[in-house]
Amino acid sequence: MLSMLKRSGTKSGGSTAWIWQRITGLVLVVTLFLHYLFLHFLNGGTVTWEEVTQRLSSPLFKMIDLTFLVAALFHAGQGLVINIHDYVHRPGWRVTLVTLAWLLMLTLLITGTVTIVTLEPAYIDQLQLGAAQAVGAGGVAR
Amino acid sequence: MGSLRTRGFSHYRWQTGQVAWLLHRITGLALVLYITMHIWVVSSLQLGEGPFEATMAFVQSPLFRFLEVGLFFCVIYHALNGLRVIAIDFLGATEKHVPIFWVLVVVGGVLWVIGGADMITHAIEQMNHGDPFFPSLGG
Repeated sequence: MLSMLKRSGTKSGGSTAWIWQRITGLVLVVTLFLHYLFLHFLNGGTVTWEEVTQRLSSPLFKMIDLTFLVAALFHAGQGLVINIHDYVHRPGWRVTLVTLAWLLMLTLLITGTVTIVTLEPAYIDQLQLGAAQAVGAGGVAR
Repeated sequence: MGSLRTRGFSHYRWQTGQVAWLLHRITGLALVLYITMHIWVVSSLQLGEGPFEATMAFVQSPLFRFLEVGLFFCVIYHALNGLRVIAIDFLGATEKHVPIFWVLVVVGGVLWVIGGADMITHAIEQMNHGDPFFPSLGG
């Protein structure tokens, strides 16, 4: 068990993690550039519901955002693991913290994916709500 | 011999590469903290237009615009130094890693000033329109 843990931080799996950290890093340079471009510099600097829902109704943007999400969370989780391996030497703590780090990333992955994938129905709900109000139906209960 | 080695080590620690590495680590951890809050905040999209706009009004207030300038620094530094690391690992740039660092400091500095000025301009415009610097949760 102990030797397994020691190896997990150095050799076995280490070089795979190392190369993936570089690959996801490159993916992030591109996706983060697009993220900043669209959400900070091309939209006048203010993010609105209309703008986000319109952008995310495009499958291409959904794909870009999902790629961004997966790459970022993998890169972040791997970064945390590197830090844990560097500073935490007690095997018990190491396993606990590495598990917690990946659990956090998994939670964020689920939350982020749900947000990106399910946004369209919410947009449609909103359109229906708007339409209902326009007809004068008043308060629409969901 | 031991002391020589210790002296050599402590001297080596504060060379450009080590500072670059330490900053990469600090900005990386800051970004992990940020992305956690960011995904949580953006998940308010699921609640519909009203709650999302309320959340965004909070995180796009002047205070957060200024904090964004710090975030933008972390992003630029981590991205550019990451590219430098890749250049060292794959493009054989090891011998030139110090000049590359300083070129990237200039490039990153220019990007930071341009982007940061944009963010601060927004904050000032908002305050000119009467928005308070500190957002209120009820807003």
